[in-house]
Amino acid sequence: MSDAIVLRDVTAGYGTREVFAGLDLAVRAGELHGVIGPNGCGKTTLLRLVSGVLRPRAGIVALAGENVAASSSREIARRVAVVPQDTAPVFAMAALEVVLLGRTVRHPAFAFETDEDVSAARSALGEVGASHLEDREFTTLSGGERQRVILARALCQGGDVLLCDEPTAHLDLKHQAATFRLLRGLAALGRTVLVVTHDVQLAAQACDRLTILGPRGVVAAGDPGAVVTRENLAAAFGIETTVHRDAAGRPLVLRHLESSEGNP
Amino acid sequence: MTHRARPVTKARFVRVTAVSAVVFAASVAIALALGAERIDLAAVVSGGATEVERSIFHELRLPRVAAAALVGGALGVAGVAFQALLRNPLAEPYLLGLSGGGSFGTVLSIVVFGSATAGAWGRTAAAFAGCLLAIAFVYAVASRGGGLRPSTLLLAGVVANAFFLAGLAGAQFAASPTEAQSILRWVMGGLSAPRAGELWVLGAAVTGGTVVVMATAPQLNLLAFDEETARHLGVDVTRLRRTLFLATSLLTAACVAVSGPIGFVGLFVPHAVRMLVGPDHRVLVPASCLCGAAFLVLADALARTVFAPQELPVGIVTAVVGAPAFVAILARSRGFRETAA
Repeated sequence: MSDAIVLRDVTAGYGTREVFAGLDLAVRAGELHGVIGPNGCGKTTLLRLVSGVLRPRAGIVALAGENVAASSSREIARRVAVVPQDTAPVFAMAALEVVLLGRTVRHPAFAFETDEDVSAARSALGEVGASHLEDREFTTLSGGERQRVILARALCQGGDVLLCDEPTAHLDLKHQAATFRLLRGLAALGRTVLVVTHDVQLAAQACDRLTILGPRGVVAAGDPGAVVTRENLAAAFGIETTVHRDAAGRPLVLRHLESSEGNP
Repeated sequence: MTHRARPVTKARFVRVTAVSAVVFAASVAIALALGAERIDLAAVVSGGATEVERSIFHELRLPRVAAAALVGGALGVAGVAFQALLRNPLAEPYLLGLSGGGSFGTVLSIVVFGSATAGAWGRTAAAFAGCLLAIAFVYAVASRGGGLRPSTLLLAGVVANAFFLAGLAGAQFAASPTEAQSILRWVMGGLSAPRAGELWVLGAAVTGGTVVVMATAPQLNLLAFDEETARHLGVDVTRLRRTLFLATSLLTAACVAVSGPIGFVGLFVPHAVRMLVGPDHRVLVPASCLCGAAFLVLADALARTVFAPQELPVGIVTAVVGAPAFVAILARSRGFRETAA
């Protein structure tokens, strides 16, 4: 299987702060790839690099073999859709209007919405179970509802790569499962999905492959069953865990609260 | 809270723009009919008017209404652009120091070269230079350390305004009593019947600036959502900002050179129009342009007639009408969040 996203020897940071250096990562086409790691290890920075919003200080970020730095913002937006952690408009917008923003990359620089656009937006809202929110003002939605609307916007945007930054952060158990089912479904249809999450358990259960980031770069990458180990989690998060296996061999992670170090 | 979704189809764009155009046309008809001297509009149109009526209509009233329309439209468009660009509902040329910079440039050109020597192009160029100076200053201050902090930008705008107002006061101090009086009147924001040359310069600058803002309307929708979203959806934010700062500087400069700084139009009109047509800039820009034009045309008609034959500076009318109306909108509207962060 070919690599859809490749980061080779990448150094990135903001101002005087270097987030990571010499990072290597590969995401295969059509897989659901999870990235887990502690706060501040560069998970969101990784997504910003792949979406072209942040340029690497050194190294190469490539989409299907093409250097992201050599592509225009619009070219990248046609291929890569992003679900950010939290976002909200200044002015009142209905959920459907927010989803329709995703269609702008499919049109010339100036265009009006067609019936097809509106159908696509409604269909995307339906896919995330948010059809009933269509006429609700976005800023009045709960965190979980907003997240689903933004995911719908990303679906409406299309492209062959989907980047999700903590897509289940504000969701209840039911919607967490539904979101990961949806992401798996998208991967099954050929879209490459890269998910950054704090939910080790959910990522280990749902993702085809996992990368564990630690304070000093990649700790391990590969099949969740192989990389989610007590040692790797200790190296990344600095906590004690016990890792069991379910009937399918998937990891079940149990935290040891008493032995965990550090401040919250 | 329900907020009926309103996709911007071509049909809706045409509908909203047509209604705005009717409002504008009505304001023009009212303003042309009103004035210190009563004239029979029907007679002017049919050719049956007296020489004096024709002269008042063609040489005074029509150019003045045209100037009011162009200035009002430009301020409406500039206000919409700034509010999206800075993701701040309080942004407008007046508040950001652009009007102050433009005014300073214009007054400097008049004091140094004299009103006749500077001419319409010279005054507009000087105002444009002043606007660019103001925007360069506030941009440099607000973007220190990477990114652009809208709240810092507004604060820098207040500082720039204070600086340019001091410059204006200095120019007044240095000027003769007669010049100082005319500068003071000009700073209050006033329209007089412009010469044809001035109207052409104003028309060209306003058309150019408005076309640029309108062409970027879909990108403004994304930027108003948030900067990261705009980038994710393919907007080159740095380039868009530069383009719009130039376009809005041009719009503001053209207005200031003709009418002096006029406040509240750029703030009040976009808010009022947004409440009616929604936040999408593809309909908001043309509707704010036409409604801004209508607002200033009517405000100027009031300024001409309330104490006729004396005239009030139109800036006083826009503030007196605009301030309470804006407060009423704020009280009613939950349509925006503050983005002071």
